[in-house]
Amino acid sequence: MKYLGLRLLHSALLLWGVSLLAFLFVAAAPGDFADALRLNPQVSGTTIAATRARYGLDKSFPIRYARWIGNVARGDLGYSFAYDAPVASLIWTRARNTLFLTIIATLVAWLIAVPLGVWSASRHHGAANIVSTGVSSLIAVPDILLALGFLYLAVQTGWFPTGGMVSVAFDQFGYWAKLRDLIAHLTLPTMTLVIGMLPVLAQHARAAVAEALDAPFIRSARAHGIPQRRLLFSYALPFAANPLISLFGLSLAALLSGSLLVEVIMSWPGLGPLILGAVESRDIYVVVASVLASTIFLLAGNWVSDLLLYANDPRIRAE
Amino acid sequence: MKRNLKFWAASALLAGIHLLLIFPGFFAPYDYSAQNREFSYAPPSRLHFVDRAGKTHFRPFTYALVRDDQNSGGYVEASNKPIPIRFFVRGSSYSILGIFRSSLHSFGADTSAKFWLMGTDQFGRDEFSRVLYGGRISILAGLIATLLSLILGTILGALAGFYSGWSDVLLMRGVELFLALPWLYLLLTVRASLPLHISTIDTFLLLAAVLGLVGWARPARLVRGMVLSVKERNYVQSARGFGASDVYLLRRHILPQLSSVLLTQAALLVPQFVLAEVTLSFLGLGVSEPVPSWGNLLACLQQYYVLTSYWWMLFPALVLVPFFAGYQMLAAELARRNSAATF
Amino acid sequence: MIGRLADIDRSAPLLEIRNLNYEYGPRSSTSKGKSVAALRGIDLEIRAGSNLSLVGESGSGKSTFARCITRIERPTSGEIYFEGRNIWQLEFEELKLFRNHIQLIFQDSATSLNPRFTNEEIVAEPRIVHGEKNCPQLRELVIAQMERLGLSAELARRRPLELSGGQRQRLAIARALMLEPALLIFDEALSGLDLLVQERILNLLRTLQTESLVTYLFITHNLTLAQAVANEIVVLHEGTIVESVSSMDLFTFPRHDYTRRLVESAQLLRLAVTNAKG
Repeated sequence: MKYLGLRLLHSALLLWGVSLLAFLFVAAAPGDFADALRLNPQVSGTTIAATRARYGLDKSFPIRYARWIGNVARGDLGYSFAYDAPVASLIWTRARNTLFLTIIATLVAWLIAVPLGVWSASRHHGAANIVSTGVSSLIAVPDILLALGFLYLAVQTGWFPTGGMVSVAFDQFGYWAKLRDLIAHLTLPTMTLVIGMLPVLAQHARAAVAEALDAPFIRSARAHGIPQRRLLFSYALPFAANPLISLFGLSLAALLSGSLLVEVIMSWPGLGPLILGAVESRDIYVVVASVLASTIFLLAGNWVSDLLLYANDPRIRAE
Repeated sequence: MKRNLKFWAASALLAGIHLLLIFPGFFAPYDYSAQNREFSYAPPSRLHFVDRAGKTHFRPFTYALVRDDQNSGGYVEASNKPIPIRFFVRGSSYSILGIFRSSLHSFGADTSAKFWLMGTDQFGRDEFSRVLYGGRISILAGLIATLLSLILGTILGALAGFYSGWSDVLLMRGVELFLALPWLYLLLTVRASLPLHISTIDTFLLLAAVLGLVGWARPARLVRGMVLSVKERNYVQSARGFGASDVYLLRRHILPQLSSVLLTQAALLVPQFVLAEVTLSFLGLGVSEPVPSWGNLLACLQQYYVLTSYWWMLFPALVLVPFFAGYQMLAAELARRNSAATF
Repeated sequence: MIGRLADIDRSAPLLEIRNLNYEYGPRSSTSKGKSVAALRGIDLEIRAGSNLSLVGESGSGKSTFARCITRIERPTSGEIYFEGRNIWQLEFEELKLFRNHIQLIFQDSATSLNPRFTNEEIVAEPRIVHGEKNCPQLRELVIAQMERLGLSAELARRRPLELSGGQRQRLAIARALMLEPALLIFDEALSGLDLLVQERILNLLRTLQTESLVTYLFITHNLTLAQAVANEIVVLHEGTIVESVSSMDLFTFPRHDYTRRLVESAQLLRLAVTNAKG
């Protein structure tokens, strides 16, 4: 248990390091937000300078960073020049939307991958093998193709909305209509992410279960006459869960990166389009805050997987 | 035997793809920047063997396209004159590897009529040619980035693993830091530190450098682990016992042990870096016009009307599939061979 | 080319160890804060030309000892003098000479030879490390050295894993001899080899000693082997030296309790074998 507490502390330090790294990079950019104003010939030099001073863009790096850290401690994540609003309010909804999408996608992917892995591991020939090979070959299809392909499908068939998280008239819907609308919008981004994750997950699930079924203690249990179903679920699965839980932690980074692209292509209002826009408009505080949000998700996910590992494996608890 | 087949199949596939992309000038019928404004977003040309009169030709041919004003901006084949497709035709001149010049193309239409295997883009540029030229850029960026990240990772990892102590601690903290972010977020952050629009000559080199900088962490960690274990082996200790210098030990004993692992890493990293370039260029932050890359070729698809009406613009994305498949097969085979080897 | 640290003084010992201590401190994860002493107060002398056997069971500290005197490990305290010089004060040129003059042969030949090297590359390596070029003369020297140890010239281009255990150990010895060492340490180097092979190598070592000025330090758990090689035997038990006698006296006048038990079990084993036969 102390170990988990230490991990939390470690994550906090890491987060601080990431904030420094991110700030370093964005602050090193030539030009800043005020440069966009220069394109407009009607804006005078003094206005630009005043804008700079107002946002503190003319101060040196250490001062800006120190000020920013101080503000963060008070819950103020800075100001977005492009949106003309405090960053915290922007980040909150966007991060929530990204979290929502990624959690749903993760659940669906694992709910498909694990049974698929169990099924194909316990049978070596026939349909299971074909399906498993088919799924594995999907690994060659990049997310960008999937997203664009699904979008194309959506437009051609009209079965799915072509982007966004909710319809325009969402607020006026009744409860069930709202739910249906949300699911309709969720489907394509989720499918894209799921298909992106599935090959690796299914492969590892199959390997983990196959290895578990082959383990000596399973074989002796089988020799004792324990029925196959009980063998599978009470004995093999908990054993196979270990590498799978670790895999979960490792696959998060790829998932979050994938979701960035998918959100941009499918106009899902998450962190993806936010950070992209911020990079393009040199909205530095938004960039840093988005990076931190994604890092928090990654660290939290890893911490959760550590927790699950702890809960699942009595050997770890004994240490 | 069957395993060997996979390896050679993957290698052959990759060799074929790379060959196409090293010599785009020859394999592509047209130059990537040659515009035909009257034929904006023309669909892929159709190949025929039987003409309107019912006569079968030995040589495949196509028809010239004209604007179809009745269908509001589409194109229709002008069925008067069949235009044969020939192999090894003379066309626009190009340079091979920057040294030689030639005007021989692998295939093309007779006369100055156009044959667009993958249709055209907004400016009437041949998409097939642009895919070939674009592929060259994307893959080159991927290869350079892989090389950079492996070199950087190996140097840092080897030093940290060999000398241990504070250099090791420093490295591992650094690795942790770089891996604490999802890679695309890290990439965007690093990209944010550069000017938004970079002169196109340097763009893809700069891009490759950025990718390499972002991707050093995993190779470094891998190399560090391996060096740590190899360093303790008895034959290294023996060599030290003869008075071998650190450089000698690294060069003759330790680093050669890493060669097969590094090769496998390379096979895994190249497609990842190519995908990163494609993603960045697609988002407008990578290679930009007029230099083609698979990424910026796909950028127009962000507009719905392009996506729905001009499906052939998806070809650059489709081409990624055999490319990835080849590398993944290769990497799997190499990894399998590594684990099978006893040392 | 290969010089000496100091003029050989036959009266001064080749290797002199005073009050050597080696502790696994808190750096060992298994000791949980307490320090475990692998070596305690070791005093030892080896004279040129007079072989020494160090006898002890596993865990007695033998290997740690070997690693300390070859500068692979740093002892917690104590002094080690080789050819009259404190080995931990050596630098650059003198350190190079030290590395030439004292060589260690490991127990497991398979791991002490780089499997990617050819056999002749392995034997030539010590010279190459010292800056010699890979020329035909070196190659001839290498082949001659290999043949001296009974390894035919055609094995030169093969790799170590293609050799038998005994051949590999001989290769390791050939390599160690390339720098004309004054002291050759065998850390259980013959354990795990067939008895006949052991005997062959022992004969070889005896012959080598008549040809050149090399002294052997034999570390083993096998009393009979220890006796066969050396005139003097030192018994190591739980990190301390409990007995230091001539090999003659070991079996007839074992002084320490542990030594007595060692001798007894060796004799009992011999008896059991003869009884089993007869």
